[in-house]
Amino acid sequence: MAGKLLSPTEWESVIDDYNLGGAANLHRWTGGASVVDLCISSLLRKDFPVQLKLNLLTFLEHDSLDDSPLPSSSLSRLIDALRSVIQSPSDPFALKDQFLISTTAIFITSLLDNDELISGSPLRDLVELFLTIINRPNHGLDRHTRGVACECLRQLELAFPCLLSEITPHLWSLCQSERTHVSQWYVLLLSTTILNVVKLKPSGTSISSMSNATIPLIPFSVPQFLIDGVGSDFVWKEKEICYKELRRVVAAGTSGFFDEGAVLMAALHVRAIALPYFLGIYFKFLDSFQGQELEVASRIMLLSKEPQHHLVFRLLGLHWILGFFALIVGEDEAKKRSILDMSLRFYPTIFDPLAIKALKLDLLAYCSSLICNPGDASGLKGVEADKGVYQVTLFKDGLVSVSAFKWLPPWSTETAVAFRAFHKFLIGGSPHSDASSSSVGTLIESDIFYTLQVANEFVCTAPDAILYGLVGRCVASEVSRHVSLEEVLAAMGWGRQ
Amino acid sequence: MQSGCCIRGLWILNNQDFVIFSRKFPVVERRWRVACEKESDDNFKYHLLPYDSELASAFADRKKREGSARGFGIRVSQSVKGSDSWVDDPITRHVISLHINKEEKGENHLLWPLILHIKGPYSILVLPLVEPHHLKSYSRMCNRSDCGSAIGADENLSSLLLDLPSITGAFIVAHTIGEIILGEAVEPEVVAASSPSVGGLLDSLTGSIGISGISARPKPVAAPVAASTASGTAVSGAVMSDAPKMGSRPLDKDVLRSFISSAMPFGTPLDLSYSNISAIKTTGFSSADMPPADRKQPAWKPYLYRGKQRILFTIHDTVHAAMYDRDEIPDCITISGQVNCRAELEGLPDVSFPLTGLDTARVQSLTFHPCAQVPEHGGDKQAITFSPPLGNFVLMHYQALCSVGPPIKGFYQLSMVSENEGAFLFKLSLMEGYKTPITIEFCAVTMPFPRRRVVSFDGTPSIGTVSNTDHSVEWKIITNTRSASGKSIEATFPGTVRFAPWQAQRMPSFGSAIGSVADEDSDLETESSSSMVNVEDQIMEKMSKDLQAVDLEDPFCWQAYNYAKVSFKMIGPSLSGMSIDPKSVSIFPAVKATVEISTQVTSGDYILWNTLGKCPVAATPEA
Repeated sequence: MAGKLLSPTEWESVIDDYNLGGAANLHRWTGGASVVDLCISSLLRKDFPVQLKLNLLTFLEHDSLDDSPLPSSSLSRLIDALRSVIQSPSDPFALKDQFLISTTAIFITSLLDNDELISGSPLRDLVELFLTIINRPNHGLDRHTRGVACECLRQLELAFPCLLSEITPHLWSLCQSERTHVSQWYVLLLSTTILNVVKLKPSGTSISSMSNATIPLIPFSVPQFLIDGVGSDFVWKEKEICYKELRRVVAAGTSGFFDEGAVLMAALHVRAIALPYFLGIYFKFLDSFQGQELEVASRIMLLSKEPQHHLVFRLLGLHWILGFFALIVGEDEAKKRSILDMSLRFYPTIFDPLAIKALKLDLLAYCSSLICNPGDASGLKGVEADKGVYQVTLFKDGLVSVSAFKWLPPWSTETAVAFRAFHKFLIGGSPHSDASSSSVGTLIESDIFYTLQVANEFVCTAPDAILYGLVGRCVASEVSRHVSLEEVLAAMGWGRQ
Repeated sequence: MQSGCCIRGLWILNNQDFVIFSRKFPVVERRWRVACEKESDDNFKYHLLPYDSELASAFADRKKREGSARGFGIRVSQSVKGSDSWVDDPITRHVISLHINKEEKGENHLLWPLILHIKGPYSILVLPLVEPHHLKSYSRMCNRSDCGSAIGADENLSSLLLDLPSITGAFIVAHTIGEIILGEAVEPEVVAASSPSVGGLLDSLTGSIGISGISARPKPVAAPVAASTASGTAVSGAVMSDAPKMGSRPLDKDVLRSFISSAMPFGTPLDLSYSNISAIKTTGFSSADMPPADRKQPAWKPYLYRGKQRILFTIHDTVHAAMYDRDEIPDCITISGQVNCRAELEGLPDVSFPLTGLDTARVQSLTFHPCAQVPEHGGDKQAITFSPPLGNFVLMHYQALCSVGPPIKGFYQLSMVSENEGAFLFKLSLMEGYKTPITIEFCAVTMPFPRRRVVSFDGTPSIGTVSNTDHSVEWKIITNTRSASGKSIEATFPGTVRFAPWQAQRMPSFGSAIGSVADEDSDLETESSSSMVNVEDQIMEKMSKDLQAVDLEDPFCWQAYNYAKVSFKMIGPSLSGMSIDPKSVSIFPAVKATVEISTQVTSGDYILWNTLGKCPVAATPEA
């Protein structure tokens, strides 16, 4: 083997150098020898500390990102090393688990960049090793390693779809047997495999029944269609596979457990995490949820109000509402109406962080912008007036929460939030992308604009920079191209000497 | 839309902007590369993830450009096109972009969305996988020549974020890592009824346990009952301070590596429960750990409890109040709370009980632990069934209005009689209308003066003791439960407080300030106060000129107001009305287990605004 053996201290320096500046920094250490080979010899040294070996493994993973794909011979050496660590009674589980993970990651990056390797023996050997590990359900000591091996197989299945399709019946039976906490990892592996079978329907597969395996689990062989390179363009085909059986497997094996999001959620007792996933499902089946828009919006709104969540989730919640409204509203007057009915819930509260206040003001500005016709607002909760009055009410009420900008110094955050809201309310009502000159008149004649004029007495106390900032924003915008700076300033009564 | 959360890489920087830990996930990165290659054009192509030095310098550049590590958040005069604050949204303080310069190749490319979580002296950056069109879209938003994200614009940040659930997952990862590196990964507090006043010493002991202490614990079942004060007792309300602070123990990279290899081996988070993962890593399994014969063991319960069986619940109300004592401004009192649980039960039993106090007129929101099954909300009483995990956990969170009157009401007046002397008066009534068994364990009122130095104070309260520090006066009204059991208390405290002469301060930096609008015309002349008609207005005006901008994470500029903050702890029935009857808790399959329920009520932000001064308000919608 070329190159000298590096000492633990030298390895620390190699890894530090690499993290800082990449592979270009490695040459002076390796003298041109293969990094993988150097690592493998160190990994097998009994006198090297385990922590260093763990570092070496992640280093190898990182290196696989910007190095050219490994040749088949290196991959074989890696598997041999992995096998000897796995079989060693003295190596700790932490090292075994990381070795399994890193080898899988390196294989995936190398093999995907070099199709010819798929048919080679390294991939087959690797899968076979994993299958040997997971084929001992309920075994006490190594249960966590079995879980890790399932995840490794799952990643391989994701990278090479239908790689495991022919042994699905075995996976199903293992799933049924395993009862320790890693049984979920088996379920995840099985569901990924089934998903690929159903989605891609590989031709020539030998699965005829989920309950009767026709080929043994080991020795494993890579399916012919993957070797032939047809894996990338599978098509839907009605085939002999028994869908009824598959449905039963999916129902039994994955009840209440359909995706890693579920595990994450269970582990965290944070329902916030589930919301975006739920919204994802919602949008895919928008029609099925017809009529429940408001319930969804209300639930998201609650998220933003619950103080146990970190600020960022509350901010995300408000963004989701805004994004959600934009999706559902369209031209539907009834939906607009129900959004407007919610507007009272968007009022900032006193202890809301300023970031939340800013986004709630955005929501109020959005509501204000929804009112196009003078009659739209009548009959709304808490409103017994026309459009203009309603808009101004939202504007004034919302602004109370940052009203300290009237007397705080101009650099205060309250001032920044208040002026951002002015701007949003002002432009909110105008079509933003296709501005016509008539919208200029609309802008200047709008009630909000009028309110700003009335609010002049405190606005005048703001320094020029802020005013110019606000006006500058408007002028830069598409809609205001038709408005001259003088026009805006004159209308505001902000003519400056 | 992607169905899951995958992480391309994560970095941890110290407060010198030096990367001290990084991890990249090749399997996810490869997916990104393939996606980029599919969508590449003249302006867009795949770039390798940055090396630590490139990332660090990009982070430092952004800090310079955006005024602070978090950035301006909203568009200010210094915001430049192409930067995060140009997008004009507070969330850009948490979801940031970096411009990576690959010097040797002369390239400059955008890295987004990077989740920024600042914890102690560390900045944690997590990069989730998105689709190339998301990145392109954000890049356009940063460079749009209009006036900022208009509401309802065709391409806006809200719609983009709605399409990216991976951002939420990445935040959870960042928060978990933050807790691990600071050794704060602790369980919620559950108080055993047999030792009701656990706290103080125990809390401070467990609070200082480092990671090694926690992971050296034999198994999670042995966790102390009062594990922490992490939840529900944050004194300054819901917002955690993200300001980097100095002084902390060095980062334990091995613990972090080991966590990552279990929690997200390939970059896809699988299980982020640190207590379970560290127990598995340190304890492992023996052949004696047999799985249950008839059921599958859930992933979140890797070990089963063995020993004496009992189940503990702690109902914890936190009361927030803004008390004005003004006719035109209504007081605002809300309760946020949680029910914590610890089930020391063998096997995998189901627990169920009826929870009362869920009257929808009063309860504003309810959120349950995923292990719980609850029928559709409605009615004052609901049956909750759950299959408890190991250790302490939060069974539910709630937000409610107070079912009785405010525990402390009255007023606080402070008036400046001269530039350096203030006269104040408190007139409070504690526990008015409250009956036994509710008792108040302690109650104290603090007048903070963060910008003035307290020289002395005069005055004697009708009850309790008074002390002062350099920047506050503290009135301890009740320090002993026995003196105050089950009766209402009137407390008054008239007095004066004298300050050292006011000195204008020059603030070194502004948080998310409007920035270069320099305080040029701030007149610092010290006019003789004798000639002033209203000395109070004068001094307030003078002082407010000196206020620095607060972070967007604060609710308002606290320092701009005079107020008194009340802190208290009560034992007895909850103020929110939540209650559990120990006799109605049932366990299936039936076992003999003791059920203990405790309730505590503590103060969150409980503020008495100076009735004679300015106060922050929010409009109450007229529903």
